Amino acid sequence: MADPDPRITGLDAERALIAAAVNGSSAAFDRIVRDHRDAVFAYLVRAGDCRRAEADDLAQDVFVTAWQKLSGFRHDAGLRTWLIAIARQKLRSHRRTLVRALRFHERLRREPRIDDAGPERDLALLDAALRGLPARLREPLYLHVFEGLGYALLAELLGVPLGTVKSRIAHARRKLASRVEVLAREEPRTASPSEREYQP
Amino acid sequence: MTIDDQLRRLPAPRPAPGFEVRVRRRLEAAGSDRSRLRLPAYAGAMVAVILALGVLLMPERPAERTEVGAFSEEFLAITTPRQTACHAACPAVGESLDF
Repeated sequence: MADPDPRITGLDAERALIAAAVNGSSAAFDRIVRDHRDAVFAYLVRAGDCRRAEADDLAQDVFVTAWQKLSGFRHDAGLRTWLIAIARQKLRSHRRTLVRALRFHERLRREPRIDDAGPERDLALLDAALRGLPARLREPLYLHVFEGLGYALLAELLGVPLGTVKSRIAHARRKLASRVEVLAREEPRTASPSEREYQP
Repeated sequence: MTIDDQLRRLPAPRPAPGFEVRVRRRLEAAGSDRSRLRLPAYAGAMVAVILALGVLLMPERPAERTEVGAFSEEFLAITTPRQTACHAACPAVGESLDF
């Protein structure tokens, strides 16, 4: 099948890409990877609290699974939401593996926590505060703010009632704000790189 | 500025360059040919159909006849004094046993 017409945009373009990829067009699938790799990677880093190497590895797995199951994609939600749902499953499966979890914690122990966010101090604090949130609060907040997923879709994706999604997001916002304040007060005492390393 | 607005200012983490190449390599390693990936389900369905046809078309088995020799002396010693009970309990056996 011919590769999709690059002039087509929006939802039609996504459908055309999916159809082409299902029919075996590697160019179409490469385009899907290019369009969504950053979002999947960012989800794994920000919402999943993965290190970069770990997120890269899991994101590759996500796209391999997507390639294998693309013909079953039903367009109920956007392709990105579907890919994030796959990433979520991969992350959960990954965390269940004891050996990998031990390696993960070992990397956390070695790598600094705050440097990922760049030089700006307030963003670094916000990044650290976000990472410090429990996963059940961090994930819905991230998906709501960064991916723009509505409460109903989040409830479906996370498998929890609508009210729970709303309360978790509200709780996450409050906790994040107070955590940033706490970290801002503590930051002068943690100036040296060695002190900024994560303490499990 | 709300906490959501502050969050949106966070720089988006991006994978290292060459991500598509790494995905492509992994696809090749996993066997990216979907027809091969679908084979197990297809093969499973075929096996199920063949088994179902086999069961449906299988000729009815003849009634099993049991040879006297198939029973141990001990069994016969126990059952012989109870011929009636044995016939009642084992009607298929009764045809070939000469009591």
